[in-house]
Amino acid sequence: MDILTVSHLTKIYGEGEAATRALDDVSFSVQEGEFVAIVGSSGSGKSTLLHLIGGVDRPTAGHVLVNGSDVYARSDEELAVFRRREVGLVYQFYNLVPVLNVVENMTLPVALDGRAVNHDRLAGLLDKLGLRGREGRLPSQLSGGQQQRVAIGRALMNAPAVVLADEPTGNLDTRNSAEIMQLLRDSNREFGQTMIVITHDEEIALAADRIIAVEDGRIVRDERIRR
Amino acid sequence: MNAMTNFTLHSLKANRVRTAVTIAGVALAAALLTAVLTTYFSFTDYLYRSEAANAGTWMAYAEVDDMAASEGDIARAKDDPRVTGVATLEDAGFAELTEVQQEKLGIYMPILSMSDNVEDIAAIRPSEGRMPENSGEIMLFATWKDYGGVSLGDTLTLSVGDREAVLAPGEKGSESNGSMEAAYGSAYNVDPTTVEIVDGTRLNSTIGYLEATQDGGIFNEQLVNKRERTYTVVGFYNRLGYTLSTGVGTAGVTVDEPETDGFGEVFLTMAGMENANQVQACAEELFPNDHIVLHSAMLRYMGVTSDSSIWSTFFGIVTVLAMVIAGACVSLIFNAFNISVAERISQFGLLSSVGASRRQLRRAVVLEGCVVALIGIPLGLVVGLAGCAITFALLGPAISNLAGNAAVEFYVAPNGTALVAAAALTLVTVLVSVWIPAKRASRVNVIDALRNAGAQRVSKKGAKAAAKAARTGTLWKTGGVVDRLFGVGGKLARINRKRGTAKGRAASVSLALAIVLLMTAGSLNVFLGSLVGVASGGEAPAEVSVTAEFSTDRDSQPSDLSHSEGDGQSSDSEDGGAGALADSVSEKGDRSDGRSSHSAASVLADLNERFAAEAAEFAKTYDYLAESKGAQGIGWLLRSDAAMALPESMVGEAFRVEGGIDGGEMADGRFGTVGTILYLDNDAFDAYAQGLGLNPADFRDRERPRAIALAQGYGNNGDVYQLLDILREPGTVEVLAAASYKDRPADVGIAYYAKDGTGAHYEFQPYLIDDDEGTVTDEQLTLDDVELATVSVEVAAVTDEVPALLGGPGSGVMLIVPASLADTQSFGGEAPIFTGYFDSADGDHAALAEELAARGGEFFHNGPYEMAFYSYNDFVEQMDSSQKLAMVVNVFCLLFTVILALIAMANVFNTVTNSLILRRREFAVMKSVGLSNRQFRRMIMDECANFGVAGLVPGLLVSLAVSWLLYSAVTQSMSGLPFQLPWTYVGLALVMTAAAMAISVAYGMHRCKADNVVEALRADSV
Repeated sequence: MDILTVSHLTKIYGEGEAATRALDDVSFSVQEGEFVAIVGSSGSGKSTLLHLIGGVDRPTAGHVLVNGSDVYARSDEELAVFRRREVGLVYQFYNLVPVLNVVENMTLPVALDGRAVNHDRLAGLLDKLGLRGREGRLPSQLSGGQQQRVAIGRALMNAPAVVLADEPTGNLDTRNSAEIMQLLRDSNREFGQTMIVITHDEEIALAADRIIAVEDGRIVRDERIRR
Repeated sequence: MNAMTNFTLHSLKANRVRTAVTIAGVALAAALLTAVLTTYFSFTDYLYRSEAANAGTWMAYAEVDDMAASEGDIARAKDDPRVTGVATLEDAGFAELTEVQQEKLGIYMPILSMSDNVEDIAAIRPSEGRMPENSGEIMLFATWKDYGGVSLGDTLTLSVGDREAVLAPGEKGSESNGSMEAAYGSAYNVDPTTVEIVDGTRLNSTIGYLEATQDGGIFNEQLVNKRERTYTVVGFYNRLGYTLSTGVGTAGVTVDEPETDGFGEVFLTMAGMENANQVQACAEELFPNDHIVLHSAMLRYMGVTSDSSIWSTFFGIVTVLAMVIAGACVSLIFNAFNISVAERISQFGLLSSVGASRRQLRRAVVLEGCVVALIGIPLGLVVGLAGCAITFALLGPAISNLAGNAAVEFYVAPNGTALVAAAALTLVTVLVSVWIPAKRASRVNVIDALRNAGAQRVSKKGAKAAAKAARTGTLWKTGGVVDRLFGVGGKLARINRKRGTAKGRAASVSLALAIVLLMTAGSLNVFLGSLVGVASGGEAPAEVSVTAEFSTDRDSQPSDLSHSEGDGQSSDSEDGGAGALADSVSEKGDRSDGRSSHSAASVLADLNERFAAEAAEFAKTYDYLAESKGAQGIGWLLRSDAAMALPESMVGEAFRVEGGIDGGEMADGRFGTVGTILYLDNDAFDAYAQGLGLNPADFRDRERPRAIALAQGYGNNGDVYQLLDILREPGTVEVLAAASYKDRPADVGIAYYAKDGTGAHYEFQPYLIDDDEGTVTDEQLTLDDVELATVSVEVAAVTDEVPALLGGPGSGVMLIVPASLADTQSFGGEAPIFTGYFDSADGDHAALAEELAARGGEFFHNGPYEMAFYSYNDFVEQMDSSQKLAMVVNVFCLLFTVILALIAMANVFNTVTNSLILRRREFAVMKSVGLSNRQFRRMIMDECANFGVAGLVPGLLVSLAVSWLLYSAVTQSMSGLPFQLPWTYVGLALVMTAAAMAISVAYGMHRCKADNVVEALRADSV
């Protein structure tokens, strides 16, 4: 079953002469539980693609369907709800809220949704992410790898339809990178979490089920990896 | 140009909008300071020139007893380098006057011989003709022309002699006599010379006329050594300055008079004096044996001394304003630079990483400040000066008029000190404001700056709170009204507030400042407004008024009734300016009644009869005048005074304080005073009563009079204006309407006497009227000696509302009754003062005034009574100038308010916007994980509400303090003014800060909008 369908997605930044076609008629689908790596050089449009799937930007043309419903048919308010429930975003620079502690950052989407925190899931995630004992720390009191774990925890907390990670290891050393990738891989396997990861790292990409290569706003390669 | 300078200028250019706003802020500050200081110095300059024109430029004079003997001193003074001018006025005898002349012109005409430049130094100058040039020429006071029948070119032959004290019959010994200057109060040095007088003492022109029976002394005086002198009148002077006011009459001025008395005054101007003591010391050194008088007013305006109350008010206001302006600017400029530095913190990190030293970084920011100041300050000086020049050009004539000296023009006096002070103050403000941001820039940690790390976002306390909040039970714990109102957004806002570093404080401070600024403007408006209101005497009830009183002169009043002047009753009718008109009109009105004895009741009956007749005559007068061409009658009133006793429950503070009203507690516990009975024409009274929610019919009972009384009044003791709390409660007033003493008519006044131990210091003082001359006899009576006729008046209401016809309140108790009551009740008043008010139908108030004057004169001439006086008053002409003053004040306040509001708003905008924009990325993160716009708005609203509350409380407290300072400044020249907060401005301040905040938030949110989320998220540092 396709949990995500991207059809004819186009995004143009700027107007007239200065217009940049960041995405040009991109279409593909992702099945539930799939682990997709998107690769491409800098400026190829892969981050734009990720943001459009994550509902933080609006496309110039085309559609994104998550769980069969059109993301951009929603109002801004509904889009916010979509972001809380259906996607989890992980960034290269973690993007944690500096004044919130570890657990608050992780549960922020739940809190924004006005729901009660599932403490069992939280405890499970803390254990899994190795953040036990650091619940009350603020992002500034954590290392880069730990911050990224919190970001992943935030992305997974709501068990979203799809987790989107933009260069999640780009800012980390080799050991931390490997650990973070292992975490993403594990959550994909254990929870069947659909995962789309943008990366430069060929090795990481090879760990995925499928690699989509983007150049100049177009998909130039889309291959499934047989293991 | 080195790299850092280049970088600084570049960054100024790159942030054009903020640079412009900051320059504008600095320019505004400099302009305001320049305007305030220039106004101050222009006024000083004006007052100096005005005083120079009125009284001369002399700084001190010596009273020299023997001019001939002091010639050496005078020559020495002329050679002294400190002395810039010397002029002398010497007594040259006293001309004898006829009895007729004495009535108008004084007892003698002192002849003063002048030398040197008295024209400038002592302000002795002709209004007509020219100065005398030799000993055969004389210049006289203008009354000699108006009343003395003397004109230019006339030759006067005078019998001139010297005054000599003579012991009154049966007396012996000596007495000391104070010289004239005591009468001139604070304008001059009040340290009067006292002269020891013995039999035969030669009296100089500063000593008043000695007449033992009049002044209670033991000496009379006579003119001796008489000689005949002939003068040609070559000029008249019309300003009776100090220098020509002698103790015995208005002086005639001549030059080089060969025969002088010896006594003279040597006027000195000096240079390089820093204070009054130096002036005094210099003068004393030059004239060691003589009494020195200082021209204090002059010295004050020259900045040599300062002690006047209106001056303290002015100075106080200027100080408070300068402080507030400086405070506002520090805040504005500080914020602007702080934001500038905060936004560029990574740039500073970058610079630091490529080797910029701390000093270089600091200097980059200071340089930025200097560039801003370099452009902003000159701009501000020009704008401020130009603003003053334009305002003064428009309002100068009005100010000159008001100051009572239209001849001396009021204009901008650009003052180097003012400009330098304004520039320096602004520069200091800029440097102070820039210093902290500059230090912050220099302390930047390279790594943090480059990563733009959120390390500084969280305070230490915040980290502890965060650690606590991780416990299971407390995670996202909510509750209470606030949480329900603002939801998760509000919760986030509060977490931010609790754990964040002082980000919100700048916004709160700027909000507080906005409130302070607006309230300052408001207080200024309220207090200055009251001052102007009081000083200009309230609203004019009509365009023109006429005022008249019938004479009570014995000769034409056979009814043996009397009315005494000078018993402390204020005849403060608003006939301030305008021309006194026809004087005596008719010799008719004989109404002999032949009664020879008087009981108090019969005295009162007589008074009532006469009063009713006069009132009826005035009613007719009004009707007649209202028919004048182009006249529209507005109404009329009668004023009359009466001694009255009030119960303690009625009286206000003004009865108890010194310098309040003329009256106070008496031995019987009641309070006595001489108050005013105001008879309003019936229509006006009815309208007034109805306006107060009273039934006019209640006041028509002729036998049991009822009145409405005014709660407040204004006084002016010559130094400060006072708002008087006169009456508090309704009650019954006992009017001491008439008295008789051994069958002779008497009247009652109020007298003060010193008495220890009790609060009672007043008592009623009956006095007898001499039947033949109408003067008060010196027989001392007490209330027990006389038979009294009293009338009780029930004061049904006490109000602050002044009847429209009256314009403003009076300075004492004022009881208002309908004119119909005049038919039966005089309250002992004998000759009411009538005032009729008229508007012109066609706006030509000057013509109407003329017309009314002519018609009134004619009407009274044909009427039954002789006139005591008849005058008209053109309010429009007068009010023009006071309205202009009010306008000056209002325009000033308005401009001040607007500019301060602009500064305040800019400040709020800067800080609030900044606090949002700096957290743009954080907001983007929250949005990316599902913060909806609604939640975002709630979060921001929660923050704003908090800024608001955090700013409001200190803001109101500080503005209270500023208000109080302004109030203190104003009360130095106007006591009794109640302290009040300018509530409209409080409201305005709240509305404006709310609006500024709304605009800032809208703008800030716009910059943090969803479209920018991607942008913001990507704004990862290097």
